[in-house]
Amino acid sequence: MKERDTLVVVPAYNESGAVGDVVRALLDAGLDCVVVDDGSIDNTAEVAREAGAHVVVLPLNLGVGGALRCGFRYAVDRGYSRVVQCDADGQHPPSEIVRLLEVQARENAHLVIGSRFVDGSTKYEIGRARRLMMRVLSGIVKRSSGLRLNDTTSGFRCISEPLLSEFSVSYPVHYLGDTFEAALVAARSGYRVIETPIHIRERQSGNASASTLAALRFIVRAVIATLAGLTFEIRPFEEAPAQS
Amino acid sequence: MKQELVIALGGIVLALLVLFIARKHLLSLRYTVGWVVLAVVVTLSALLSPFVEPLANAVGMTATGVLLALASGTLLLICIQLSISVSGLYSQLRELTEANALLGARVEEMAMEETSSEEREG
Repeated sequence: MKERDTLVVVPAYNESGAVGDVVRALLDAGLDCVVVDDGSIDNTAEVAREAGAHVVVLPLNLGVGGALRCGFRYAVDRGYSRVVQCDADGQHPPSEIVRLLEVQARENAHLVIGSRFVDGSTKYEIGRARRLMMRVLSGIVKRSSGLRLNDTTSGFRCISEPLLSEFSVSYPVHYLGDTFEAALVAARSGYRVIETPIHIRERQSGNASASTLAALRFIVRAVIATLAGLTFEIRPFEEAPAQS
Repeated sequence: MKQELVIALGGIVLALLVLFIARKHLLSLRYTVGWVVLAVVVTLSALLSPFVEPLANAVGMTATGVLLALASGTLLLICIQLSISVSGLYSQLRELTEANALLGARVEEMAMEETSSEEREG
C-alpha cells in the first residue's frame, strides 16, 4: 500500500485559464493529483505541469468519461485505493475534497457523490427544465436500484476499491455516462453509494460542457439506455469473507 | 423493360465504382465484398425481373418495387454491419488512446527519475 492512498483525478479540456490554480490548491492541501488533458488544443498540459501536477496527455478528445477512465487506470497502476474526481474549472475547493474523503472513510462507501441539492450544500440555482430532468434521472435511479439520489449528475465524487478497479476497466464515455449511469450501475451492482452535501464555487474559467438542448438530448438517450438495459456492466460487489 | 435496364445499369455502375475505389485502396476487401454483393443482387434481380413477377403479384407490388425493396434490405444490412464496425473501432481507438497517454506519462516519469538520479550522482 502506498503511503498516501488517494489520488485526485482532474480531467481537463481547454482549461489553461484555471487548471494551474486548481493544481496548486490541491498540492498545497497535501493531495496527490493527476491532470488528464483530454486532447486540449490550448496549453492546458503545460500549465498543469508547470504548476506541479503529473500530467497524462490524451492525443484525442475522448470526453470526460474517457479522461476519467484513463485517470482511474493511472491510479490503479500506481497502487492508489481511492480517487476523487474533480473539475479543472475551480468549482471544487480542496477543503471539500478532504470532507468527501472523510465521509468515504467514515461510511466505508465505494462511491461518495458530492451533492449540490441536499440540505447543507451551497444553494445551487438551476432552471425549471433542468430541475425536471434531474427529477426524472433521480426517479430512474430510485426505480432501478432502490437508491435515493438528489444529484445524479454531480461530477464531484470519491471512488474507492474495489469499485475503482472496475471503473478503470469499464466506464462509459458519453455525456451523463460518467455521472448518472456510473452511479446507477454501481448501486445496482451492490456497491455502497452515498450522497453528501458539498459547497462549490463559481467556475473560474471556461464554459459548461453542454448546452441545455444538448443536455436534454443526452438525457433522453440516457433514459432510453437505462430502460432498454443498455448500460455498461461491472462485476457485482462481493463482500470479502470475514477473517477468523 | 426500360426500367429493368436502368436498374441493371445502375447495378453495373455501382460494381465498377466500388471496384475502382477498392483498387485505389480507399476501401478494404472486407467492405468491398458487401457492396459488390449489393451491386450483383441489383443487376441480377433487374435482369431476372420476369421471374420476380409472380412474387410481386403475390405481395401486391410491382416487380420493380420488389427489386427495390430487396436492394433496400441489403443496403440496410450493410449499414447495420458498418455501425457495428464503427462501434468496435471506436472502442479500440479509445483503448489505444488511453494506453498511449499512460505510456507517455510513464516515459516522462522515467526521464525525470533518470535526470534527478544523475543530478544526485553528479
